[in-house]
Amino acid sequence: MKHQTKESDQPYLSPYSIRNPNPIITLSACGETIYANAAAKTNVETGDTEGSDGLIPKKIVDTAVFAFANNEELVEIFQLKNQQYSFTFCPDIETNLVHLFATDVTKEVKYQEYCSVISAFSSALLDAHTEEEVAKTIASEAIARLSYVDCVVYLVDRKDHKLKQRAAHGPQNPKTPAGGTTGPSNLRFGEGIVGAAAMEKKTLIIDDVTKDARYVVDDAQRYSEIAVPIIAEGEVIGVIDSEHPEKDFFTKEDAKVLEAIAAISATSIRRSRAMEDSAHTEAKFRSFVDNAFGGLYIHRNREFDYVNERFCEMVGYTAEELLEPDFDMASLIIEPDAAAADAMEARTNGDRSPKSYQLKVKTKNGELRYLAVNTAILSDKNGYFTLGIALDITETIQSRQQLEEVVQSLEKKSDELNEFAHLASHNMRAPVTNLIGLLNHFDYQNPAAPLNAEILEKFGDTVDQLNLTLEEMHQVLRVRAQKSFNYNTVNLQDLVDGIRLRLSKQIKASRFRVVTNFEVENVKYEKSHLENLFMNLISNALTYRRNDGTPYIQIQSSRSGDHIQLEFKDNGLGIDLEKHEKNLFGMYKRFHDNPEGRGVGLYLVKRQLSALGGTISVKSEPNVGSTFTVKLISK
Amino acid sequence: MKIMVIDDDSTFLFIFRKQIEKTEEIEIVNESKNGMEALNALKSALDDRESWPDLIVLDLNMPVMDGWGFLDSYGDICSKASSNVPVCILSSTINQADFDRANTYESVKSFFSKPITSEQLHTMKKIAELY
Repeated sequence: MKHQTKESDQPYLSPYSIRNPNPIITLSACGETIYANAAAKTNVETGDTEGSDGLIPKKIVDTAVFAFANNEELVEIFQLKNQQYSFTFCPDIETNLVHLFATDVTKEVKYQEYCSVISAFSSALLDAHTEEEVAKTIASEAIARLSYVDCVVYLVDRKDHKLKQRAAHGPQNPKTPAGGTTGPSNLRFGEGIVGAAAMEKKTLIIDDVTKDARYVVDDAQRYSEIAVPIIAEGEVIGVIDSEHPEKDFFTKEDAKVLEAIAAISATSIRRSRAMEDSAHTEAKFRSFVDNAFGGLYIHRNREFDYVNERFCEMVGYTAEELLEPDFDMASLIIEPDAAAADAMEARTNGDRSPKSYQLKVKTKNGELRYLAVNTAILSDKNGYFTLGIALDITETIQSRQQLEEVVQSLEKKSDELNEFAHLASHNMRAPVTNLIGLLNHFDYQNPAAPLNAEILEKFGDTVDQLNLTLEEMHQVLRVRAQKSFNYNTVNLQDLVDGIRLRLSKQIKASRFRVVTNFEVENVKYEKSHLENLFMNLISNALTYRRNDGTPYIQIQSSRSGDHIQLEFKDNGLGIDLEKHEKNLFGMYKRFHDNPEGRGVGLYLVKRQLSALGGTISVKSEPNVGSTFTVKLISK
Repeated sequence: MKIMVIDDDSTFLFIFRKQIEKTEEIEIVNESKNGMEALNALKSALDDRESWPDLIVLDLNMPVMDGWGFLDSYGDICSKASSNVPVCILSSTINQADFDRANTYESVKSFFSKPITSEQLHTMKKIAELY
């Protein structure tokens, strides 16, 4: 064993003799005596023995004895005065000496410690999902292992941009709540050492805080401090801060390890903030979508992929029912209008432009609803899907329909009234102008003139005509105004017999025949309407008969479904339907050159029938005859 | 001057005749109860130029063929006769639509409201002389 005298900067321990119970021992490093025993003390004049117990630490002596006893070279690391030394123990059996060689390995040991701390911290961070958890992990997993007296983690509040204490590690101050924080809980940028580090975006090591005006007194006076900003994308998002009761405690190595922790944390905090943001945004969006005023749905591969609550309400199905893979879309959509059918067709042909259309849908309980639908084609990793926005426009559509009906009915009424007013004034004017014309020719000078008698006779006729016109107008108005009807059982044969009696004079004169064949004998109906119907059709047939051969009318009744059918067939003059069909049932429309025809009868008949849901139609051929077919709903 | 009058109202015709009697140089060559009768009468008059009218007085509301039906068809006969007889409408209508419609016929030269007056007859005479 040739370990010999000390090398210049090699820590060196003077030979330690096992046999000499009181050897002179000093331990030097880099030319300075860092240990000396009692025997040595007397010989060493300038050795700095402060902090030394004056003895070689027992653990070193024990190790030397162990090495000698086993005659084995040993290497051990011991801490002396905050420094780590690697000792090599070399036993020399011949001289009964153990030679010790010491090397300062403080940096290496710290480096190893830092590596293990950073590694443990990195893996602990995997479980930190919020910035709060990241801050706590910094305090508990990193700082706690780095043998600092205390540590506080500040994060920048995103609202007021202040540095806020989010986690702290073990101050030895009993006033501080367990696991709680120490120091000021809020700091502005630039305030204190922490604020200064944030402002300057760089690590600050203060060797003696009493000489730094920026220092903010903590829970206990301390002398050195390190503040390391946590920087993400060039922006300070927090500060790791530690103080120590000794001056000059923090080194560049501390700065390096804390900067490493800060860098790792920055990534983690950014990630958790992004996750919080997106979770928040998604929750907000989800709530907006779920509670949106309109119905929203996503449709994919002919199935619903998503439906919001409003859409469920609109169609009356639950979300679960709609999302069933075998939900039958056809049971929902009743009748796509032309625009909807076009849009759907275009979709199946690959058209991806936005579409708007109306859908008539049937809710689960069979109600009809109108939806205004806007659809867009979007895509995600699973391919294309349809996003639909539906608005319930049932009420709008219904009120529009009602309005349209009212408008139509009003327009019709107004047209009818206009027509009536014109016809009435015309039909009143004609006889009135005649009365005036007749009076113009009356010979007042000579009342007995034969012309006057003729004029008076005409005057009488015209007044009768005027009276008749007034009577007709009254009838027309009454039919229009009639709102309630009395249904009575009417025997059709009795009805025809009564009319035959009233027309007996003309019937006899023209040898007119009325033939009846009533399959249905009794009809429950408004009697006055039936009388008017039969009277008009029979008297028309009589008036417009042909005088060659035997004129007749043949009347039949039969049941057809829920209504009763009446047929009036004659062999009279007939009507040229090509010319007159349009006006046949109009008011004051006459087709034959006959002074008795006044053009009101068929008009009234038609109005009375349609008032009770009935219809009248005609087939006719000039000089062959006419057949009127009436359908009425009997009670 | 020869007049053809087309109207189904016997009382009006009576008054019209009395009015004509009071007016000089006017003679009724034909009375028809509707457009169809009038057309037939004009056809007969093609061979009998004595009864060919210088003026037609036409009512609108008549059965079988009304005044409009007559106006639609009577051009044919006029071209056969190569004589465009002017038409005056004499009606009790006060419907603006009727006035407007009448204006669309070139043959209609004037529109009079009943009752007939001597002034109206004089105007008709002037119209007949003009054409």
